[in-house]
Amino acid sequence: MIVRRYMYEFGIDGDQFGWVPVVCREHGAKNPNSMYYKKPITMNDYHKSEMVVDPLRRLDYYEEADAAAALVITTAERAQDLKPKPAYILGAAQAMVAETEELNSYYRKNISTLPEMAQVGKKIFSMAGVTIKDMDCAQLDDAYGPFVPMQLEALGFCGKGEGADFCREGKRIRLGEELPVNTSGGSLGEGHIHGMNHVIEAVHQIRGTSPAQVKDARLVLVASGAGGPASGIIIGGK
Amino acid sequence: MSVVYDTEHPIPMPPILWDNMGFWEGIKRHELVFQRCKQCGTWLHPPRPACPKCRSFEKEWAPSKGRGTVYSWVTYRNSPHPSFKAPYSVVLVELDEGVRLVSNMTGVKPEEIYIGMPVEVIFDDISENLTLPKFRKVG
Repeated sequence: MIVRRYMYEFGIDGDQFGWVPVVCREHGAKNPNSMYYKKPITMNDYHKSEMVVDPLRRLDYYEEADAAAALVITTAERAQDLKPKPAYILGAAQAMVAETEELNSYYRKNISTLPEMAQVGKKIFSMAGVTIKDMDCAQLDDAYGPFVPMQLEALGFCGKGEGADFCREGKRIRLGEELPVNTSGGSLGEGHIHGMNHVIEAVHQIRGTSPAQVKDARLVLVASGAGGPASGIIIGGK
Repeated sequence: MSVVYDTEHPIPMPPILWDNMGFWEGIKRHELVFQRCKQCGTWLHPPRPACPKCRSFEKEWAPSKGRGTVYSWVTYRNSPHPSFKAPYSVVLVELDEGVRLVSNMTGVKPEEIYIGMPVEVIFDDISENLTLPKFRKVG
């Protein structure tokens, strides 16, 4: 419902959403831990992928994954004595706004934006004392591909209605470009571990150990919960 | 096109709880009613304990004219439940009172649905225990 309305209000052709799974699978194809290691897809595969709930195609959805993820979180002081290079949580926030509903936020006045994510963005950038331009890559909630352009808008990487264009041909969101998105592959290109793999990938980027490493990555944004109560963090080195 | 039900499988029933009981009682009588805040007059849906505008707990069940427009819609090409035969469309209707309701269309093909389509409510008596509010195109 949200995606159809988003397409309607901003004149977006549903085919444009295909760049999100294509880029996620491209990144996931480099990742030996991915369900899709060495299995990239093309836009042609996306167009051929069946409609599940029109306007969403099979490749817009994550596949269920059996996997586990864990993080060790401690104080910055203790982390200094650990063997692996620590990554620091510089900002963290959760948000709900008026009339947020879990998985069905389509009763409120405007449903073509993600106000919870916008709130999270504001909070974490101010906590971390950094700006959008400082982000070396972003690990966004891609359980449903079209929420990626909507998050890019809500977080401020582009204007309202410009997210699909931001993702077009992967020219700005693939590894080596302006803002590599979901460098591990994310939910669509690595596996759906409910966003935990996105956090782990952010740590890899800071340590310099990602199979899709962004050169000298110093600041990574992780976002989760698009379309409902949202949360986000900014992770950095020191 | 309406939703076709496979009667071999039981249709999932709407969970009726304290907050939404008045809504489903209205549907049973073929009346579309929504919560309305007694203090500030705001129409509320889905049903809830308090008004999000003025936080009052005082509300009443007020009749809707049952007319509105399609605000958004999707078409299930695969069925998530064995009692619903795919394809079928689900519409998000914005009633003239300002609230929105998730429902189905009757009498139109999925490709004929569009955002802004004027619609009015009808009541589908599916079984002895289940009546659902659905919409048909106006004009």
